[in-house]
Amino acid sequence: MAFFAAREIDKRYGGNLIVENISLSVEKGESAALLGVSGIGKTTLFNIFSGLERPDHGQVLLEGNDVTGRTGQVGYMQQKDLLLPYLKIIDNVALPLTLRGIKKKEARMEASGHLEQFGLTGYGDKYPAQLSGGMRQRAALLRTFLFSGRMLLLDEPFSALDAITKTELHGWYLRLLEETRITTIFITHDIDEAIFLSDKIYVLSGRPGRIAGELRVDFPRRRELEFTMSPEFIACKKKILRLIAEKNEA
Amino acid sequence: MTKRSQNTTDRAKRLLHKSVGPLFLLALLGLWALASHFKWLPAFMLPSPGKVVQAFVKDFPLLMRHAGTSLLESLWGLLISVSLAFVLAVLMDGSKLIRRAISPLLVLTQTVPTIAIAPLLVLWLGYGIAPKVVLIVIVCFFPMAIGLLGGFGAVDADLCRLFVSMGASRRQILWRVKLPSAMPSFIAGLKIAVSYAIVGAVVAEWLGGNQGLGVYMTRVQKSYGFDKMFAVIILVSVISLVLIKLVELLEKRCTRWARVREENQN
Repeated sequence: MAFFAAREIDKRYGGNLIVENISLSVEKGESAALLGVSGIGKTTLFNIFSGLERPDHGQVLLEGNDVTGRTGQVGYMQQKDLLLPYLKIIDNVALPLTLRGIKKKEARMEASGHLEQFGLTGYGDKYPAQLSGGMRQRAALLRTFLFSGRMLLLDEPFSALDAITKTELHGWYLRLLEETRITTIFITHDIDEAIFLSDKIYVLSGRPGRIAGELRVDFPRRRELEFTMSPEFIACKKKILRLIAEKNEA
Repeated sequence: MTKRSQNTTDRAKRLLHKSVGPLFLLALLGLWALASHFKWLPAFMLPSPGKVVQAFVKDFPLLMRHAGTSLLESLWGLLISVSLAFVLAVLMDGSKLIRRAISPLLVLTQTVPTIAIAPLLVLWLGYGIAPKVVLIVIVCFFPMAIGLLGGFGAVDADLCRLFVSMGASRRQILWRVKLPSAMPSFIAGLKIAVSYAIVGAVVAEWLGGNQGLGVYMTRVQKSYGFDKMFAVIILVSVISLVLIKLVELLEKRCTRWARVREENQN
């Protein structure tokens, strides 16, 4: 049984079918990428996975339980960092804890124990406006992590960053995955990022959006930066490009 | 121009900008002193600044007693206005139907001339504090309700979705997101409201009452005590200014985070 799964999901907006027959599954500790061009319905899928919206057809399963249309089950990080400008970083990241009714002091204690792992040491007392884009993104990720240490949905977590910060965060993110063994699905339109960061890639294409193909990324030493220049990497990229192209011709 | 002289002119310019307000006031005061000294207007109509100060000192205990009444009315009025504004804004933000239903009425309350309804309020509610408080509420709740409602509306919808996705209740979203986000626009409304409040109290007292700065004002006006008249006008202004200053202090406390950003950019 998969840790997280979606079964045959359809979603319409005002009669238009946006995504059709989406089925996917992620095992515990896996990192999956949802890859596709902008406007394909990736964010719609995440809204459904997180329970914010109900699908017109299909199911969302977490550890075998039906969680379709139920919020508060998985951590969801949207494209914007959405940090509250009037709260210090420590209170921003501790938000899911205080929302659950945990006392502010205890919530701060628990949150501060994770600051180092998320590269935020010494930034707890700052306000979001005092942080760089990369830092803010890490803070948003920590907040999501503190909400659910089991399953995270990340909507284009790195797309708003400049190339150098992005590479830096990629490395950090991979280390974090190793350390926490957390299960994630992330949205991206960057093929390199999808191959580099995930164990499994779902390619979305067409209109309405369907899953054009599923790819396993399973190479030795694939977590090293050199991997992005290896023949295996290029082969993988070619395969994905072909998948997208085929669907568009059909 | 050399760099040094550029700096000097810059400094002079800054100094001018800083002091132009008080200087202008001083100039007007001088003009007033001249006008009364050379009797451009009869002395009983335009008392000299010195006379006004004398009147103020002489009537100080009386003025303070009346000011106490007016302040009490204003504070009650403000307190009720804040609560009313809060309740209205939350209701209107929560339901489009309620918003549609009451927003015409809200606007209507602001089109009614206060001077016209004040005597009615006195007829209905008597000579005590009640009609004054009601009048103050009618003038004061509106800017705050609008400020709050605007602030609620300006909250990023994605932020609310984030809270929903984290399982937050509507009440949690209100207290944790909407209210703090709406604070700056609420305080802008409060600033307008406090200056309206004291003026509202005075206007209400004109039209019926036995205590308060407005009552004092009508009495001295009827006895042609223009020096006392000016004294009480200045007192009303000073009270308004102090109240506005207090709100600004509150504003500073509530928006510390916003200034952090400025420091960061400098």
